[in-house]
Amino acid sequence: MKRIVNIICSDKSLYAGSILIGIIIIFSLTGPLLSPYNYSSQNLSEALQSPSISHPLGTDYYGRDVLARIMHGGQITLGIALLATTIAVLTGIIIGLISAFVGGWLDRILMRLVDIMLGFPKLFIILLVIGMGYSSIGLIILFLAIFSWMEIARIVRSEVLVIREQLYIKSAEAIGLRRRRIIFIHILPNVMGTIIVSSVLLISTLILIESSISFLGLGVQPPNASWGTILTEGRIDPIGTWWISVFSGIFIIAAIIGFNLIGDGLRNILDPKFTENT
Amino acid sequence: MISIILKRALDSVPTIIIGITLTFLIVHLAPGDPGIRFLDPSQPTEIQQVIQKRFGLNEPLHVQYWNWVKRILFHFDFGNSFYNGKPSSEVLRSALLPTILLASCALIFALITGILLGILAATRSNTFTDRTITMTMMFFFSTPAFWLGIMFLGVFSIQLGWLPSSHLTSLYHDQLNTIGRFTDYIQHLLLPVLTLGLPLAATFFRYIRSGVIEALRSDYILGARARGIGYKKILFQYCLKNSLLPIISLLGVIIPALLSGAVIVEVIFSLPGMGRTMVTAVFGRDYPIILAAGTLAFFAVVAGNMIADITYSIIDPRIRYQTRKNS
Repeated sequence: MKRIVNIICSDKSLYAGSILIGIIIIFSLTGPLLSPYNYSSQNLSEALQSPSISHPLGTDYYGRDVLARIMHGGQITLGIALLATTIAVLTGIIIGLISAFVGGWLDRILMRLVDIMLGFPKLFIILLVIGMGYSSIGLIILFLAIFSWMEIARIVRSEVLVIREQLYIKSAEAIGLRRRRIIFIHILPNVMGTIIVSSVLLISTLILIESSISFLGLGVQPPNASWGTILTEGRIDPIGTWWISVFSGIFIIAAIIGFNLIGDGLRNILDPKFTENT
Repeated sequence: MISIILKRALDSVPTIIIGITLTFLIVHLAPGDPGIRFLDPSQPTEIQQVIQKRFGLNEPLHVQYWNWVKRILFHFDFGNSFYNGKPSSEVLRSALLPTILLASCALIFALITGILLGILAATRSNTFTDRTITMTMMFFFSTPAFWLGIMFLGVFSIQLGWLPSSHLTSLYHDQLNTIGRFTDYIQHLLLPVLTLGLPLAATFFRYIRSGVIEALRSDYILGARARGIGYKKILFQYCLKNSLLPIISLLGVIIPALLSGAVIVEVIFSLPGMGRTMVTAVFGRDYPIILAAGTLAFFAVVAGNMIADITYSIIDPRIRYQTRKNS
């Protein structure tokens, strides 16, 4: 634990990013327990109130408390992004490892697939799939993951190919260690740094894509709320109901900045060559 | 050179085939029947079947797919819109201009802003100017286009009333003289271009800034300085050229990003472009339009990747020699 704190304090952007994300996560998790309002309970007599003491971030068209909705939306938005990233990273690692170790025609096919998938206009396909009537949170997570594992697979493959040629792996092979042991104990930990950096940056990309889909009205459906869903409700009258879009947008931006800062900071720590350049 | 282009063109064939097939499958396997949308629910099912037959939706999937591909390959016909009966190519042609205008203006704006600010920040690295620019750009880098768009719309169109909030032209556009028309376009495009361009400018900025800083520290710049070459020449000819390389390789990723971004921006500012046509078609189950737009999007992305690769090999001699050696 102390070691983790030390690492976080050693880099300015990692420090700032961790605090930002920490606050957002604690806020989203504990908020709904403390708030007197439920994210979906309507109270039409209090509709469209601007920020006040009883509703710090105002209310929306149905009199729902925006703060309560943003706190609940945080769980949904971050949950979707984190789960999709986890699935994408695991898929990426597995495919990268297979590609590097099996090699041959399988490697060529898999890398070809990566090229093809990278060429897809992501938002377009996801829009299509979800817009055609498959809208549910589970499917959003699945499709976000399906279109995000490629980068990780590429990184894992190329790093493993380099590491495999190193002397310590050769000697591990020479003393007759099992392949599984070499992969998981000697190779994977060395690739982990790069994987972590790109998965943190992937989280912020996925937050952005998820809120874009929800913004278009295709993602998380009301009364359930993600930050994008809330933001789009304020779109009808951006001045008269400014608090709905402004506050939910600030949370999206803060989360993306936070994850980007963590990613940059981790890269600075893990890749000394990069630090010298910036 | 020609062999590189040919090879890349051949490479992209599977991408296009898989992409188009996937789009076709997603569209046709989706629940919901476009035929039903034109019907009063109390009508007998025979009428629904008549409509399905007219759209060719009653046949098995592989027959539909084959017919569709055949029509494109031999007649370049993407079918007519289910809604207004216009040919898809006509619908898309009118939607193409706003999107191309928007995307290219945004790209040019982003390149100019990103490069100039990047150089400015790099030459003054770790000063107040650098920090302010870097912070601002970090903000735009992390800001979703839709939020930026709504804020611009609220402040500049509704609150201040300076700029129009929607469409590409004013109602009286045709009555204006040439200069008037031009300013009319600029007024309508300013906010959408900023919305799409600023996050992109921030991406370019990051690459240019770190690239120029790295270049300024390198030995060949020191050598150039020792030989007494002017600072401006060093900066713009030596440093910038090397820092532009990663941006060119980014082009392949930027074109899909621009297309996706255009969808959002066009929806916010009601621009009659490809993105909005796409979204309307998806909501309305207008199969021929979705498929035609999808095909076009795949072609655009593949073409973008090819252009990026080719430009890269023209600019960076190392890659050119490598491919020549291999082939």
